[in-house]
Amino acid sequence: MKFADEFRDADLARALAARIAGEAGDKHWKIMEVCGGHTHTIFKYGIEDLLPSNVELVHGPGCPVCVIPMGRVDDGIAVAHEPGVIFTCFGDLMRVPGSDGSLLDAKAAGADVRMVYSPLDALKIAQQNPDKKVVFYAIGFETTAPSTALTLLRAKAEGIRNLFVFCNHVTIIPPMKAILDSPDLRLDGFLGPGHVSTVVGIRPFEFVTNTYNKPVVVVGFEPLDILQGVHMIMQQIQEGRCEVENQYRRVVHDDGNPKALEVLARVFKLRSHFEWRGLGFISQSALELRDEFADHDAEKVFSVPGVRVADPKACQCGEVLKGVLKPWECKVFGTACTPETPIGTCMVSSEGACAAYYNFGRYSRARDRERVLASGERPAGNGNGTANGAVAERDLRAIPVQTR
Amino acid sequence: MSTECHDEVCITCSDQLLSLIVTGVDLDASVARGTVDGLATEVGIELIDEVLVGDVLLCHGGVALQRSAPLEVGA
Repeated sequence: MKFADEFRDADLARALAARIAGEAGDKHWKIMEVCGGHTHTIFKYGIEDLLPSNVELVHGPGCPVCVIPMGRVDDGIAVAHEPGVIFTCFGDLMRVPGSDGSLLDAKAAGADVRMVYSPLDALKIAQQNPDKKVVFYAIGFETTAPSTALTLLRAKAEGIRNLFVFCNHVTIIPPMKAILDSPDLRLDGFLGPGHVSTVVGIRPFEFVTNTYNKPVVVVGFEPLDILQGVHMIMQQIQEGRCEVENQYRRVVHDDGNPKALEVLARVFKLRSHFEWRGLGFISQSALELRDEFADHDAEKVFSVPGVRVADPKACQCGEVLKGVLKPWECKVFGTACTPETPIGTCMVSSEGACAAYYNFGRYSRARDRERVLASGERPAGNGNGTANGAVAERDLRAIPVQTR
Repeated sequence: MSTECHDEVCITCSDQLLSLIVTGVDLDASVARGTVDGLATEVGIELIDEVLVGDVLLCHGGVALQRSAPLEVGA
């Protein structure tokens, strides 16, 4: 596929990984990928296992499913059970456990819950069912929010009054700030979120360089994008630079998409505070509908419980989301908590760090864990040279090499 | 590809843009029609200037967010 295969060249990937290994020296590098899409790529292609053990990738909070608190799931389920409601949401959200089941369970119990690929699909359902109240559970960062905003603008323009949005859109900068302020974690730099940056541009990340003196490289979602981003961060530090760089220029413009930003500003405003799973309440970290759209605001139209629910005690998603724990260090990883029966949100989405570990590296990690626990040591962070490394090699060999 | 996710990645997870090759444009409806990995679909184009047949649009949640730039190999 054009624009993708060029960035999956196995030989180039190996060469770049070797260069990183050669330049890493004795320093222990900790680089956080903010975005869940990056986490998915890292595990799908075994990138962690190509890197030397002293270059550690820390998985950040950029998976919107993973950061949804249980209480907000319960709120959605309560609305779904209201009479006359058709409740719509993206697929992964249907499996996120609330305190008493998921939206899939609600569907099984008789609620009309439907999966959609776009909020525009919810708008069509509303047009086709004028006697029903169609609710869309909006979730996602700045990449997803424009589609919700456009849907509401279309609903307004077309006079469709039976579409409602339960808004859970979040923004990327506040959780990055919360992580940088956390005493738990020492990071050397960030791989910035490529597609969020498509909308917001790269300038919003300048606070990371200016205030926290950490480099940021906005990167794409192919294996070579990730490896090049890691190398660019290392180069910045070694050369004494601290900048926001754009590795993903083929997609991301420095100023983002001004039209999308204008649409977001017309429809949304910042919430005073919002709860993030694992990170707690963060001020001005989420979006809500402006007053002009109150008639479409599910939180104003329906009776939403709004009860804060604590996470299950066994679940350590919070530590995983902050990068303090590796997923396989969680007590219930791969045993009580699996993608089929998730306890924590990080195991639900394919971009959640736990699901990524489980799907692409579970067995070798489990063996590593058993071996290390048996020795009484704290588990090491990287399995370079393990069976997982062999999987990564196999995966890269399976990728067609481009002729140039 | 599961029933819930495209190319193993859920659309919810937001930071995934899908490439759509434009085969038709309806300016009145503000939509472009085309294919994503061979599957016919349409997306809103309110956020992109002057969409033309043959453009590659990067889309999320049924809306085009950016036009893909020509790749400069070796750049």
